[in-house]
Amino acid sequence: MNPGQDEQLIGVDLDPKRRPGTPRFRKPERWPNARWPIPQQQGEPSAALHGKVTPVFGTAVPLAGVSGAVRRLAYRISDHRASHWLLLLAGDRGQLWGRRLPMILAVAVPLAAFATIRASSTCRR
Amino acid sequence: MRAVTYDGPYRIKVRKKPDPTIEHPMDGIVKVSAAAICGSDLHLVHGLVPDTRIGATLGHEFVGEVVELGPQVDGIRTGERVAIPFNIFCGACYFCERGLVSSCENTNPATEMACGIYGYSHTMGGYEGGQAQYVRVPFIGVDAEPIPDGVEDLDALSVTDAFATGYQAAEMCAINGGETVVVLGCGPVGLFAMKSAWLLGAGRVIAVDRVAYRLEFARRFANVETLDYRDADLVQMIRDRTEGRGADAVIDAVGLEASGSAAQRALGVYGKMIAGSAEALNTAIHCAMKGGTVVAIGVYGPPWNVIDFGSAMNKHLTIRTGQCSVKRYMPRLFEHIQEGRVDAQSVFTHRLGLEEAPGAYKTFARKKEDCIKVALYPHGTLH
Repeated sequence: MNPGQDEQLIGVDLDPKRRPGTPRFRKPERWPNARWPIPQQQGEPSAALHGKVTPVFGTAVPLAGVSGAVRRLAYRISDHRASHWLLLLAGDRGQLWGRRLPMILAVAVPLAAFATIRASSTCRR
Repeated sequence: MRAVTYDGPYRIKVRKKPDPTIEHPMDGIVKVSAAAICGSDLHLVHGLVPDTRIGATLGHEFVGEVVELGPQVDGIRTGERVAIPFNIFCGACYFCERGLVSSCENTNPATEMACGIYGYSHTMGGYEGGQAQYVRVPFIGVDAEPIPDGVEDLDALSVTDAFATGYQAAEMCAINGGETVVVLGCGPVGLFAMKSAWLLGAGRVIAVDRVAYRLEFARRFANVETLDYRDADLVQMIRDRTEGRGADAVIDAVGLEASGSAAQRALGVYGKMIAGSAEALNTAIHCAMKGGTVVAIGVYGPPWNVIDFGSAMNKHLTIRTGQCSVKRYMPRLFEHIQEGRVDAQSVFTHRLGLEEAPGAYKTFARKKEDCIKVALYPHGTLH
């Protein structure tokens, strides 16, 4: 079979009336089961605010610590500026290193202390 | 419950997390029967999406059973089998009323750019994702699409994102009948874009990739011509096949981790000094004919990309792009599945339990074991 030869398939949606996304903007119509006004969700969004609090928001992994402060700062900058996004990436890296650093220190500090003690006892001899 | 979570760049951890609860009167809770790993999940895992927080549940493609409803939910009942679009939308704002539910104004407090999306960082609203045993679904009465009888879970799962996005991409090509459409990328979205291009009346569909098993899958799944872009200059190969002019429409179904430019990958994908690699988009611009259309539905992010806009401008190109407004497409796509025109579930080459997610992400990312797409079963039911 040559590529594309499948009569059951070709052109089934050629008619624009069968294309769900055509036209791009349809005549305004509320979706079934939608309500207006929308009740306001209680509590605080875990995504830092960029303008208004939306009626519905996510609450996964709230802001915390230094990375949270960096992220909060980022959201005070408009999202059409590169600094907004670069600060958010910095916040991501900050969260990562905030978790890694205690683990690294838990090994590095005893090792450094041991090495220091060894070196000073070697010097005394 | 158990959930697949982000644990830092290139790290996935399946964790115990509290069950979701009703947080808004129009919420529902869905018991997830199947969830998918998307190529765009890899951008999160690779540290490319700003404000991706350690511990957040991943996953924006899922189907399941409604188990709990808030007091102001209409039109849906517990026990119903539903497919959930990856967009979280209210159904009543300016953009929702006009059909662009992916631009809903009422579900993402973090940015103006897009609506809330399940499991796709706090930039997209901070919602827990669907690679979990249970998920909170806001506006469930509006957003959820009942799965028709006879449509299996994995077919419905493809409709929540990959099939809908591929179809929207092909629709954006403005096919009038007989055009040549090139699809860059033989991942799931690209595969559905190829199939959709036929449905919309394309005369010729050419698929491009660099991975042999993906090109072979495209030939079998979508009955297309294929090109390996490592064989020769891709732009010249396309021109040679189109009387020297280029394609009527080119779909970029690759997104921001594109191969092909060492400089873009070094600066963007690894160095994070630009927002990933825009090499696929540049390739699309060069493969399109003058006056043609470029459709970008691979995921890109801010703040900036290195794009050859001068060529696009001088070639009179129409550039169409955007997150898919999935709900609009769901009934039509279910019709195509029920009529046997598209074997949607065949893209799920890997079907695994939730606990296997860390290994599954690696297999998917490294393109091992002929992997096209992964389905996860949070409650352990294997099909």
